[in-house]
Amino acid sequence: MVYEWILANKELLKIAYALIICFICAIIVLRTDRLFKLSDYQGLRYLRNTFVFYFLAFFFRFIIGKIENPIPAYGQLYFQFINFLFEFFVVMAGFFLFYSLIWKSVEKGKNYHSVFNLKIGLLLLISLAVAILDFKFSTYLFMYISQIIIFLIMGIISFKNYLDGKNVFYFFMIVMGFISWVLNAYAFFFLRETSAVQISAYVINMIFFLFFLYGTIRITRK
Amino acid sequence: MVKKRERLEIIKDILSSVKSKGEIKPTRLLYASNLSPQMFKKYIGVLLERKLIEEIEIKKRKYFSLTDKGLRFLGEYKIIVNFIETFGI
Repeated sequence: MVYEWILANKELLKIAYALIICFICAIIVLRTDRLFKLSDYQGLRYLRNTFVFYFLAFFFRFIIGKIENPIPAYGQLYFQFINFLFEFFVVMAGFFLFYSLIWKSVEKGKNYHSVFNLKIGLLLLISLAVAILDFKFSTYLFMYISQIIIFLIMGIISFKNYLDGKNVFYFFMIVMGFISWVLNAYAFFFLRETSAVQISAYVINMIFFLFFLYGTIRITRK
Repeated sequence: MVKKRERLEIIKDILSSVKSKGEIKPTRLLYASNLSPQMFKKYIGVLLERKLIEEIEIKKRKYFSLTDKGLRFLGEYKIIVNFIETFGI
């Protein structure tokens, strides 16, 4: 019954889903930006950038992508381009999240620009390559592989941090992100049509963002 | 062994010293900060550049005083550190 209702309203639900995630990202960006501007702490800057890119990814894929093709002469190219942008932003967001965990061990001394520096430039190039490859072969294979690997590495790092006495909260968030990517990939490659697995992936992804929002609001409220 | 102070902690200590005195002479602040003169100079440069403190002149002597931004930094220091620790960044 619920499943049928979801299927019947899936396009509308996807837009609502994206709007909620964009809203969550906007709150996190504003709060981390405020803390960054006060402290000039680079980790906050990279975390902020993560959610700027997630915002852009979901905005393009589920909101701009749902608008009727404004250039019908180009057929599917418009939607392929939107997908290309979505992939680039979402992959880069994953890389920024990863970089926010490891920046201390790769950046020494001087503050770098948060987008235009050699290390971030390399990640931008990888994200671009992933989006181009998927665009060329009309698949999501490279995006899924890159994100599953990056979330797996982040899971290991955050678990190690937890063993070293850090908060377990972050580890749970990364595990949610990892499960969401695995389920999304499984649904795409083995089930194709909208399935219970894909719906679960969307729900877990939402939990991943809500966890971040909860953590941000809990700490930054006065 | 004494734990090395993190950059943010050093900034907080310097700003707290400035706040407690209202206006403070550079030499007094150097002693209070517990830093080498070289490191002190570096940190003061950063704090001035980021407008967390400002230089003022009283009776032709140089003093440092806290800006509004510096005061906000002290008010939110615990939030910033808590955030960084929770997210492991």
